[in-house]
Amino acid sequence: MLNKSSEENKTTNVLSSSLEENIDEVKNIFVDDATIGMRWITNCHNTTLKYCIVQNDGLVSAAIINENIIKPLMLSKVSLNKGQQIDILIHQVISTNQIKKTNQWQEIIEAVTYGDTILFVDGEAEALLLNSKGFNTRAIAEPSGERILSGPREGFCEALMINLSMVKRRIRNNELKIKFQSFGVRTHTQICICYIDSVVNKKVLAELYRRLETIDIDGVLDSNYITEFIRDSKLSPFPTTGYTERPDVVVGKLLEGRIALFVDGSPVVLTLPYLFIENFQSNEDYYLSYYYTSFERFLRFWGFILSITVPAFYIVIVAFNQEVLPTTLLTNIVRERTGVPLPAVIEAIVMLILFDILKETGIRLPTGIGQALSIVGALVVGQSAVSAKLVAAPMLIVVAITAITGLLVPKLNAPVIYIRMMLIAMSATLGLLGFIAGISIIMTHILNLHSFGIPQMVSLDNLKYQEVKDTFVRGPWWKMIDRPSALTKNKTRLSGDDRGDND
Amino acid sequence: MQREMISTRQFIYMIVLFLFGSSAVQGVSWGLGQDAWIALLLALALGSILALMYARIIKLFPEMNLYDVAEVIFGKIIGKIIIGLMTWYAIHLSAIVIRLLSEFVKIVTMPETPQLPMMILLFVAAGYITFSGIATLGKWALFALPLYLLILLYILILSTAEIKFSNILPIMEHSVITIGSASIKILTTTFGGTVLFLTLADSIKKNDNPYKIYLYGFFISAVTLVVIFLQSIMVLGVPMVEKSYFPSYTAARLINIGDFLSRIEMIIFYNFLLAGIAKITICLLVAVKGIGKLFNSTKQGLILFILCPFILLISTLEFSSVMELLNFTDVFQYYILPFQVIIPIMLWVGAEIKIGAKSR
Amino acid sequence: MIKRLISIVLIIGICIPLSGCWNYRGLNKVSIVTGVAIDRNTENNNYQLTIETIDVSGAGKEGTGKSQLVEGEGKTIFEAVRNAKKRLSKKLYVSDVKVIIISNQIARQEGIKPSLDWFVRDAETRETAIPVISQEKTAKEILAASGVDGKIISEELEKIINSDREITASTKKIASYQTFDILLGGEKTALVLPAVHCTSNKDKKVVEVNGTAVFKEDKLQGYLSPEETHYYLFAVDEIAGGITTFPLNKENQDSLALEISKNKTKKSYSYDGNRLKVFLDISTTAMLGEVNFDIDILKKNNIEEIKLAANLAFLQRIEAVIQKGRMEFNCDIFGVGTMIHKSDPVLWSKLKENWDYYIQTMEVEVRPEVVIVNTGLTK
Repeated sequence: MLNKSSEENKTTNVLSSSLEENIDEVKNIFVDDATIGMRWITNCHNTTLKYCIVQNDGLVSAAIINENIIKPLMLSKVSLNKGQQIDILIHQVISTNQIKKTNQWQEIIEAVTYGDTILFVDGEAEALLLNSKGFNTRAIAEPSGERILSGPREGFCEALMINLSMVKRRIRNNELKIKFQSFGVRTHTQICICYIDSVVNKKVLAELYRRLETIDIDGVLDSNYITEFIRDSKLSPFPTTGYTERPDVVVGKLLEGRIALFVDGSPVVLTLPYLFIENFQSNEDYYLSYYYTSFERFLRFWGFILSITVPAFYIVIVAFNQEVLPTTLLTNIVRERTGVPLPAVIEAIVMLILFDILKETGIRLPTGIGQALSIVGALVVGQSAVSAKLVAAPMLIVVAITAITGLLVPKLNAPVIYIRMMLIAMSATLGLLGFIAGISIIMTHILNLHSFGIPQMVSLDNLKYQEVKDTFVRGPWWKMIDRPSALTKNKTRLSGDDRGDND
Repeated sequence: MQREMISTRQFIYMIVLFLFGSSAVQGVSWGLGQDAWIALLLALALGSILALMYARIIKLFPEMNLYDVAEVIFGKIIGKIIIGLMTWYAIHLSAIVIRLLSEFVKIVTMPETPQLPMMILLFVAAGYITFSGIATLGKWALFALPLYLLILLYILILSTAEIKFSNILPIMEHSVITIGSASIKILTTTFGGTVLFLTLADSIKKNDNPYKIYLYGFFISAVTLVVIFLQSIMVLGVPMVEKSYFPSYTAARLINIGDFLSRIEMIIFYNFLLAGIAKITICLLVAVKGIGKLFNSTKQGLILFILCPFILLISTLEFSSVMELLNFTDVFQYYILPFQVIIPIMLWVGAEIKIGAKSR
Repeated sequence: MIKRLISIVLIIGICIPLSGCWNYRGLNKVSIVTGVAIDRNTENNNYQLTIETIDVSGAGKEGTGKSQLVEGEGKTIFEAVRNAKKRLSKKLYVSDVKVIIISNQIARQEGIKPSLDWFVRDAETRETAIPVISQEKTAKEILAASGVDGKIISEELEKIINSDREITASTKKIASYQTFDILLGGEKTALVLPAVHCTSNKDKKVVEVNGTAVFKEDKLQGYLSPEETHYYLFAVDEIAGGITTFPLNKENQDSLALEISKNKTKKSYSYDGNRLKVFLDISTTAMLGEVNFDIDILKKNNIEEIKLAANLAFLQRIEAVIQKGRMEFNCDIFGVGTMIHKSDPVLWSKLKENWDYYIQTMEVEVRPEVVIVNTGLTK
């Protein structure tokens, strides 16, 4: 019913000149919505001028309405004629910072629901949309999922404009382009596409626009909704777009030629295209000494590999190729395992699932109980499981290593779970052959990943320093001369010859 | 399926991995005892001549693969026959390699496991890479080969404790004729297989140098094979090398450092499988391309899906035991001559004539 | 279409787990074998195997635990191993075998090659296991004895033999793959294996390494005592430690002890169409470890005297060992054949047929050269 009436009105002159008719229409449109309030105003010098403002309670700032809308309208001495008021009102009377005039009901609905005030003027077929947004947003705080040791601590909040402001403050340049689009048939959520014109890869940009047009969804609540529509390799568990909650990360990625996607209502910003190595990079790498962070990168990388392969490898060693173990270790493990009823595979799977359960509950529970639960989980379950001979002690160590290293690389926590299970299954049936074939399959899959037409794994063809300076190690800033060539053609980052070889 | 370009380095790595395929673990003794490395080097020399011919064909027809070249030179009918022959060679070769790989696994670590699941798994792994196209194979090779060489180096360093240099003496104990005939055998069974790369030649960029690709590939793999062989001989001694099926595996079993770092021969296992998967993938790629060209179809996935059970059938039915498989090498060296030598020579001569005629 | 595809994939995928994991070997079903003793049962001519396994229930608190002996009988070694399973609930895991003890009857009468074939051929067994000859009546007695240090005899034996090279130099360390090399090689070098016997230590029967056993082809010929083995090791350039005692001159008893720190033996030969002449150049670096009488070491004369006495002692004893090997055992005990083969294969093919004759008639000249670098803390 709503669509029909606004469509009808869209085709014809939307608003009528009669104020009463317009207001009746508003009441019709927002029937059963008790928060839409209306205020009738008359100018005190010329009482024939009637106005009505429609406001959305809770979304508007009363101060702005009182001071900048109602007061000028009431007290204005400007001479206005019926039928020609709009422009004069805009330029001489109303003192809000943004005004737009419209005669489309659709625009009016979208404006009212976001916190603008609508001014209907008697005798005019156009209405004015006045900016009076005054809703509360979350305070700017450090995002809890991306904590670092040193560096900026601002994090995005849920309001699009505030997020944009944080990014714009950091790029004081006219090359930063910002474009708006809206998605979601019912929610009409605003999204914003951001990029730096001189470095961005135009082909990727075109591809992005093309894919955005294919989105057909009810409502967009979070940037992840968009990701799943526009990503490559839709069936792969690996991420093909980056996400972050920090403005400094977004700016860093923009400077390398990427595109950022903001979604209103979500503090998570998408960056694309996405290279595989970004899973292992963290913004903190650039704020601390490069020796330290190069080591950290190595740890993350090896952590990922260990997290995937350790349980499967353990099963291969213990169940198929026991000859790898030296005799003393072998005797110990045999002794540990003699009392245990379950074969190693089942133990591994059970313990891993148990650990994941603990992790999930740890995240969801309120903080007070969380502490107690982790103590219960770790000590009691683990310890008593071993004493009751349900689980062998070496298995606990293996699971602990797996779980802890799995937490090192948060972006890959989705694929890790599945890959781990797949490897365990394959090595449990076919031993070392299964293990190696599994690794080959995973490697192939990762090599196949694309992100908006750009392969995620840059080939190691030219092992020049400039290609790998930011992958496994973090080279110092005075050596970061080129941008990643996969992302952009505008390669040189540093101007001039400042390569750090001073004196 | 669009054509994807491969860089020189990736191609070289692919050739090296292919040549490692089965030879690295199986060993190249072939009755020569400690002189096999001389035969290897001789085979390298002879192989370079073959390589020059292959590279010349590539250079004459830049960015075209063997199938297209055959059709251009000889016309549709004979061209299609040549394509069919090459495809058959690729299929047969992949059947043999898969059989060899699963025999290796069965003998060495898992005697009770039937071979069929092993082979299926290998097909899944290799088929996935084939399905993803040659670009992925190139990148895979970029990762796999350095890893392979690293592991080899590791084993080499660890086995220095067991090396006795005197095991290679006396040099040239066998007559030149014996060495010569063995080197021809090595040439055809190992180096000659690279004729299959001619069918992938449409992924070489126009300005890249095919001579460099082939010669580098041959050289690197020959040197590495010599090193592997020397290590096996020096650690095990001639009689053991002659007697074992997999000398470098047996040699790796002896490594024992400080009592805790021993029995790491699993690593050789890993190497063998890596090279084997590479070889199977390349053969599969060639076969799929060939069949696609023969029947004018571009549905790679479907062709692959049908091809794999076919190859499985061949590999299970062709040999009844490992001994037959290894004895087959004697016949194999003659059987593959047409594919490796005769067809390329025909193509080369035809190409020279055609190009010569064009330029006039 | 999609459904068909999925069903095909599922069918293939199910094949793998349905049949189970064939080679999955849970560790609790495995019994670790550390040593095997091979005997021949004279009644029914079967191989009788005594297998020493680790008993894990005692492990952990007191070292690696106790050992268990399992016996098995069969016409071949493989069959005997499998037959032992008839009394054992767990499967035998032979990847850790450290020593193979062969009784001297088998070694003398039929040779050890048939017994060792399984150890090299089977994929699970290690080629680094050490074959050892038992000087007792049966090989089983060795495993049934108790060790001084620990309870698992095979581990003990292996450790003793491994450390022997640098410490006592009284036996030879050789692995089964090297054994095979020598047996299969055409150079007819004599195979030499460590020999083991039981002695009593504090009223307990313990196992002791007692020199080496010398073979011709693969049949046992005789033994070399530990002291003879010591000099044999000089001849084959495998010595890296050990003590040599010798008298200063004819009157004194053996009263000087040298500790060998380094040794290099160079073999060379000359062939004049008829006879073979072999030269052994032995250069040894040693430390004077014990002097049983008064002598001022720093005096140059005395050092020269000691050196001469050492050289003489080496010369006599090494020549004695070589003589014993040639005459008594009639085998090429220190690898002359290998040396000739490697440097002059043509000559070797000529000499090969009458190699026994050449062994008997060859002249051996030993030229030892001892250098004494220090004499410990006192002069």
